[in-house]
Amino acid sequence: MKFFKYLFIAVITLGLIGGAGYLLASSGIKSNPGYVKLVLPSSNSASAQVAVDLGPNGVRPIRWFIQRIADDPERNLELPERLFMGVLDELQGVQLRVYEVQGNREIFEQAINKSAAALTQQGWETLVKVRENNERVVIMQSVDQDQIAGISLLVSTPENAVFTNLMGPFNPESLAEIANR
Amino acid sequence: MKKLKQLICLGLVTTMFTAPAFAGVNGQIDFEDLTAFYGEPKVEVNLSASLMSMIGSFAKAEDPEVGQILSNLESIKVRVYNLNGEVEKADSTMESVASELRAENWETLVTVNDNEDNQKVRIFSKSTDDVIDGVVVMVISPEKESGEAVFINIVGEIDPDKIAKVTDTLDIDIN
Repeated sequence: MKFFKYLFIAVITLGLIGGAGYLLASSGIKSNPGYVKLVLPSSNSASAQVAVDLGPNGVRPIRWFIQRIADDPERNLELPERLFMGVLDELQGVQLRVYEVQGNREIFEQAINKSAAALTQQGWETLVKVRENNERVVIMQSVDQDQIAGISLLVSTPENAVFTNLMGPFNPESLAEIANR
Repeated sequence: MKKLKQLICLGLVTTMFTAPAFAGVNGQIDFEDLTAFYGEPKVEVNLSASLMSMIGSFAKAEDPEVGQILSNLESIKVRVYNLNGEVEKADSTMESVASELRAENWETLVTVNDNEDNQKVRIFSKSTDDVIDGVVVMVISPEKESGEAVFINIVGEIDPDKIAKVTDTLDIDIN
């Protein structure tokens, strides 16, 4: 009986630590100007394989960890890696949902349509929309004083559907400088 | 008084119908109305000046000339539509856009009515004091899948001979 009592306490403690960690990692996400409430499929119709919500507190340790790896003086970073590091430097939050498509593609198509319409209504601009070869890609951005406040990437393929919202601000000029280095 | 109201109404209606639907300022044209003719585009790209500068920087590493061209551009808009076999309708729409551009003092640079791929191509430019403000490229390809229409509006100073370099760099397939 004592064993179950300790087990119960351990589970509750882990739950509280995990919950506090999640709240800390995702805090500040909604107040970012680049945040958008993505229209996702309801949990009854599809459940996400990957779900990530990180605010500045969640991004910071990931950035620190990746920068430690990238700072290895023996490694010469290629342009895509340098750009990734540039984006990571300015990243303040991420929302990510990855779904497996199993004969329910229509649900994800509708969610992408609704998300794109909601983003347009909130003043987001379309950067790229592609509907070709059974694949669909929508990239939209929110611009605030020459800076990109947020980017949303919505993808649907016969295998997967991905909903992403990256929060900045991202400065295209500083990324251009990285490319020129 | 009644006559005045009629004149105001007539004036408004005339303005509405004579204002070119695709006209814009400084080499820019509005593609929104094309959706009414062709439906939703299968490809839509809108690149602003700050993004062009960024893309130009990326391109400089491979081709400094193209990088410089891209950096100097203010925007690029691309629309690619499926024609679903309705090639004649697409042709007439392209002609109506072309005539509206001419009415807005765009100059015809290239007119191809039937090349080896049976494509129809129109390229227009608009200039102020011998400096090109923008270029419009329209291509109808009836033999591509069930037909395809491509509309490109490049805003900014560009040598029309360099359009192909820009579209190649941005991976825009108009052939």
